[in-house]
Amino acid sequence: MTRILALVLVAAAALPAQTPSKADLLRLTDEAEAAIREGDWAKAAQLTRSLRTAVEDARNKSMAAAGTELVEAVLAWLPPDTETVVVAQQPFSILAVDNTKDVNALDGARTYSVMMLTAAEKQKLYPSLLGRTLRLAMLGARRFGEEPEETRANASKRSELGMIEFQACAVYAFTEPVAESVFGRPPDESVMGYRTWTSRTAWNEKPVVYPVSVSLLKPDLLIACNNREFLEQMLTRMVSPAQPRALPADLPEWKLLDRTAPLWGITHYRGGGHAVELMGAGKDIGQIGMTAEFGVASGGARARMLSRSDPWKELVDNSELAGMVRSRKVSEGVWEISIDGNPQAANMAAFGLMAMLGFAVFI
Amino acid sequence: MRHGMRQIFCVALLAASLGAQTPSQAGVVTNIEQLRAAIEDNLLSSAAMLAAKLSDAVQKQFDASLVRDSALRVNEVLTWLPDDIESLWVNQAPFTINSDVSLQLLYYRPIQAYSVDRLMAQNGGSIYAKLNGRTIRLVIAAARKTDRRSHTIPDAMMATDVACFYFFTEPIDLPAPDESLAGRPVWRTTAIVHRREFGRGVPATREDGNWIALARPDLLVLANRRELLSEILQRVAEPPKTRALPGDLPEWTHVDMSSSFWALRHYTAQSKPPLEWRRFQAGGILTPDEPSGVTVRFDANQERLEILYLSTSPMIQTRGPEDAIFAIDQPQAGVWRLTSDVKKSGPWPIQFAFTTLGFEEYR
Repeated sequence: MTRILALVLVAAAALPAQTPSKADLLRLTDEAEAAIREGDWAKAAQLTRSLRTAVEDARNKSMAAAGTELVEAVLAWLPPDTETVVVAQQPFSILAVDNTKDVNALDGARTYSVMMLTAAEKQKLYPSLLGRTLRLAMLGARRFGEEPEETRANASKRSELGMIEFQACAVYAFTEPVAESVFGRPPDESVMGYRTWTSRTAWNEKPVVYPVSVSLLKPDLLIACNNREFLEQMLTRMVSPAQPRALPADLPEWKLLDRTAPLWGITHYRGGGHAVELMGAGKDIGQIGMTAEFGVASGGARARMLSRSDPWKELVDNSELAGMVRSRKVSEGVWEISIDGNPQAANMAAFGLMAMLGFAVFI
Repeated sequence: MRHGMRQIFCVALLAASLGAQTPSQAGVVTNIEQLRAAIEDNLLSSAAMLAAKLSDAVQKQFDASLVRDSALRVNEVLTWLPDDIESLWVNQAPFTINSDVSLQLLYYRPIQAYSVDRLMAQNGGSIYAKLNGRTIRLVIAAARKTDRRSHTIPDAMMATDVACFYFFTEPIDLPAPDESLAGRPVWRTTAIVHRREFGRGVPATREDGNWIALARPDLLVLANRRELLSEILQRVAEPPKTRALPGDLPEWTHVDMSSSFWALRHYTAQSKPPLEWRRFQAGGILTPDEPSGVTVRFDANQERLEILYLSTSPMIQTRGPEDAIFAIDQPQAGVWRLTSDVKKSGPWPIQFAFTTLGFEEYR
């Protein structure tokens, strides 16, 4: 008993540092099976939890290099006026919503990364993908707060509530090929040679519907966009890479970002942009851009903003978050916030930081 | 070839041992065989999904093993409870205390919320925080002298006598007790509760006294009346010949003790809500006239709630939002059945069930 516990502890302690080998995984599997056959469910539960973590870690490490390569490629596909990029690069499974489980900031942020997938096909595509694993979800967005054509033409459909307007394209890479049958119908058209399904989808509980197009780039690679021009720009740049690229490498925000985080985001504000509105009138703090990392430090989150003064003061002073949120001045004009990984802070971390990245929800 | 031989041998070994296993244990062993094959074939994405499935299945087995004695514990508690107890519920879904998770975050886990609400509130949360990380395998709660006036409108539970029994998986440590009752250590605790009187907009705040006893090294008993706790502890010390809710009550024939949550209430003449109150609540809630008792069961796997009213009178039916939440039928003469798919309807039907049992929100 002591030997097995020691093995589990050693395995758990070693996980962050090195990938468990096949032999390690098989040994843990044997230990778990022995406990199951003995009917020692306490030991089996502990061992299978360790095994799950070890296998996920091995999977994640095996996919990391290909994921980094794909992120670089998609950055080149995004048009130069892209303001925000969100990258969920740690593989995760598409699961049905389960409100009975505790969530962390990473879980919350992932829901933003898959928003184009959840909206597609009148919200029917996502359920047909349940159980599949995404190795990368990468979302690029622009023109936050810009009124879409549909409400310009029909003012009665305007709504101040719900998620802010924006144009976005997202690339989703699966661990296995996705059969066309998940769409449940033949494609509507071919866009630049790619089979494409388009549906008009209600968006974020607003009275207006938007066209969301999904193209199958490869058997395991989808692109989903809520704007046709954005889609065509992506596909064009995919075939013929062009300069300049989105969020160029010399932007100072990149130096603030830890790109090893399971999920990260970066934004370069367009002329102050929506962040001014979020922080309230008359509180222009001279913000330039922001980075955010989710899943760091036991499921917590961290963000850094380039601005003249501290953008995090109100969050840190919020009594409901006492002790869970800390901020500091990293250097002149760089302000950092760290949010604990506990469930109490998780909602705020995802909701608040994603809002600052552009995806604000007005309630 | 060697690989193939080894697999055949494993299958033969598995088949030989299946006869001695429970079907669920066999299912878990099948999962682990699939996982081992995926690891050996370097199919890490499949392996990760199988490891997650295995871990969940083993955790379910572990949880089930923790409450294998629940029928015995319930019988024991029934002998400890005074004869005039009229309502009892049993939550046999084990959970681990996470003091970072507030009551608000338990909104979608109403049974767990009702299980810990009162304990969580004591001494500003300090008792609950001391129990952080401990697993409660079984919660049994009982009530008497149910306040007939508060039957219909969920509110802070003040008038009713309540006792909660928390069975932990291991002995627990608490600081030095305040007193001793029947030879058991007892802590006097308080909680701040808010009660909104009908017709008054501003809730009144008051300090509510409770008593907690360590009846056994792994069993806490919490009561809101010192005399009730004293009575229980006397009966623990010297088991009496009588018990609460005797086995010949008709409600017992409708109780399903295999459900993850089950309950029964046998109305007393004093606690039965008067007709005018039941008609008043008909603005939202359905009950039959003159019920003699009620049973509740919730199947956590199916997320299905069933409430049975024992009544030979007709059902008061009104139009209201609950019409879509509960399906109502009469499976046999004298029994009205309300069923609800909680996955679709959310936690409200469970909250209603607790109210029907005479239990209301504590704070």
